[in-house]
Amino acid sequence: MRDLRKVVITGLGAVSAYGLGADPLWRGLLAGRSCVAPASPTLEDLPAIPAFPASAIGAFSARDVLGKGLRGVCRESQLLLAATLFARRDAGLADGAVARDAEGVFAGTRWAGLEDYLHFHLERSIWGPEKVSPTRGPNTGFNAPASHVSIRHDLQGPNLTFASRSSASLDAIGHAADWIRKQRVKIVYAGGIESLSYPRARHLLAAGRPIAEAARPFDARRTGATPGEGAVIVVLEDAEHARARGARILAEVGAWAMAFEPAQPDRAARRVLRAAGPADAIFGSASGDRALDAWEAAAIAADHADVPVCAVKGAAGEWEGASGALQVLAATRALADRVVPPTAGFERLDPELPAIRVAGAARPGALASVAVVTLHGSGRASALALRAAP
Amino acid sequence: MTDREVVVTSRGVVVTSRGVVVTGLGVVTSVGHSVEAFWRALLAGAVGTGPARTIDLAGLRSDRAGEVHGFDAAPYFRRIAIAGHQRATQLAVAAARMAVDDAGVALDEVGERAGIVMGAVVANRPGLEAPYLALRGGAAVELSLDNHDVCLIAEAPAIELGLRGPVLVLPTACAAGNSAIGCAADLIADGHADVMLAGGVDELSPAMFVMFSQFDSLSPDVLRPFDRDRRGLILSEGAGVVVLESAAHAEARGARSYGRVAGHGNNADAHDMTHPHPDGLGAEVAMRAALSDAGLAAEQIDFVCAHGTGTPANDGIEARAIRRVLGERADRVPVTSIKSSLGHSQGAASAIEAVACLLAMRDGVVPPTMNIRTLDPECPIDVVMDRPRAQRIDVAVNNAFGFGGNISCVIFAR
Repeated sequence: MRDLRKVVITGLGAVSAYGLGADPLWRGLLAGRSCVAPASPTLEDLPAIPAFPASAIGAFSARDVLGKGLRGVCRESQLLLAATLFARRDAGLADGAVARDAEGVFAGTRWAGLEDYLHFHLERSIWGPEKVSPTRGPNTGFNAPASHVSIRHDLQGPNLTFASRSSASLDAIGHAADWIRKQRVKIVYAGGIESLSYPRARHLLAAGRPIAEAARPFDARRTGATPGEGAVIVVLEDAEHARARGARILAEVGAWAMAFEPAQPDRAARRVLRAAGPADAIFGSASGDRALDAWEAAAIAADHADVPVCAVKGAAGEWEGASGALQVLAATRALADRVVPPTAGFERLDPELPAIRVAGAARPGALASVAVVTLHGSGRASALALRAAP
Repeated sequence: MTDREVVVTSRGVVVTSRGVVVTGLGVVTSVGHSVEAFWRALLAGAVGTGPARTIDLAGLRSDRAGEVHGFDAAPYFRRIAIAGHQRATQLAVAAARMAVDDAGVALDEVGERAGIVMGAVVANRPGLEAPYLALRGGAAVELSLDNHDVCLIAEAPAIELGLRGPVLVLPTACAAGNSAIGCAADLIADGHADVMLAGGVDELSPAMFVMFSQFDSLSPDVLRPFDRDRRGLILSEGAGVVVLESAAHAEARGARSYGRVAGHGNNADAHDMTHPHPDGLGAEVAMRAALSDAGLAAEQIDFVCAHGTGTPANDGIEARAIRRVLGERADRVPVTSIKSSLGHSQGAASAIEAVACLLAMRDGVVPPTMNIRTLDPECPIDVVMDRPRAQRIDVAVNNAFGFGGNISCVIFAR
């Protein structure tokens, strides 16, 4: 029987509409401030998309953040590279400090590579197969961001990409912790990347759902989610390894659970929340979407009606494959800083929803454990428990 | 993996062996649309690649593809409607249903303790190519991504079969099938589920043909793994799915086992997006990690099912990595690449090769690598050429490498 080790979080990194690094993002969430502005993603030679409100990363100079060697590295990969760089700095880890096969990268995404895939295809049709940009090909895959991270940081440990809708990056973090517990690896840079791409924007238009200028999770006046983009990396580390190098420990990783209930998303969320165990706060998946918020509220009310709930998508928007990592970042800082951020946009609980404890203001106070839950209308839910640093 | 453990099952408290076993197989390939048809074709040396009939490859360096012709997925859709589902989703549902029928497991009774992990490279994306071209041409086209979400390759089989536990997708390039099997075995070992389906699927993607043509990595005639004059790969389509169960669950229901998932290794080459490390470091590290995970020694390896893409870059590097792991036994441990018969089915490839490993173990025979004219002296391994080789196999190593340096190695044992 193998000795299962504890797994801790020792660093956070992000790129978002709030700026570079985890700090500006956390400060924005804590202030309940959204960064919504009109966005209209473009793709060469394709018709313009009417601007819609979104939480988009503005000007991002990859060269300034990452330096040289970015030829052939697509934007999504650049964003995940930057998040990884910030997370390593935050954790006090330098290149070469750990054996190269003892560090891995797990990334969650729903649509990575799709814009490059379509661009590659269109270039071929316009100019012929010989004139397509040859560096674009390898960026057409979902795995490109995680693979670029492994190459740039020389991480020879495991390299996995997860695509389980809005649970993708939570599943990446949960599974990475299991890899560390089995002592296969000491450190995993786990997180997610989702960009506000042209095909994603087209999809939002085609779906015909209203896009909210200000998302209002759980609120009676909610009309829909605000699309967002971002990259987040959480440094997961073997607890003994972290202690031995004197690392600052932000939180400890607990149970991970997944459920799939295609006809009853609320049941899926209830199952995973139960499996995550007792929690002093829940970092939920509610986005301001009428149906999603109702399913989540029903699941929380069933067993956790008295637990404070925070929906970070009210401020940051819907990051799809990267949203689980965004929620974990918020939950980790909440444990470390002893405060639950407000749910931006929330004023009054929708009277049609069961009674749950959502607040429009921050709640200071020590937390022993929290649960992060991701939910999608497909009936997919995941949860991850986090505990305060020992 | 020989530890005894006490497990509570529907039959009460049972003392049983720990571990994850394979109890069902399903494939759809260019050489056969069922497990037995596929296996007969492989042993007979069938080659399923040829001039493409369903996809336009004009202007590229090769017109060859490994297409699945005449396959009707509709009979495998018994609960959900097939309408609207892209080809990759259809192939996934068919292979998953086939594997579950083979395992004879009543999944509705397992429900929350059953799930699926699927791998892919492009999955449902090719169906977006035509609408996007139409959009560029000025057409007013609906461009919903609903039927193109990669998750459908796992969710559609899950709904069809009543799986309500972990439902994951690992799009880890051409290592995806093995990645999925390794992940699913872990999920059982870690207590997330008792039964997991795992595999890979891909449909043909015009964009992928263009990419490999640009890299001059397409073979103009057939795929010749380990051949001195190999020119490249031939892309193909298909699906492979295996049913994994905890040994306790399989024993409790008296299931037949094809073998166990002894261990796996997943590593990044951490070198380049398209070129493998010149010394095959990632491949070697992954094989050794898989051996370590399995608690096995290199001396115990009886068979290596190679990634063997027939590209100049892969095969020599892989062969030398295998040799470093096997040592002088590399002169007599059989190695084969069934991509010579099937073509390279991308995310499905290593899942289909896993099925070949398990059948090789069942029947004591290694399927041949076809199309070799002159074995490359730079590939110092024992390639099984032209005809199957009878050999008892207790431990089989399945290699898979992908763009981005994604490497996954799975070991199956009797």
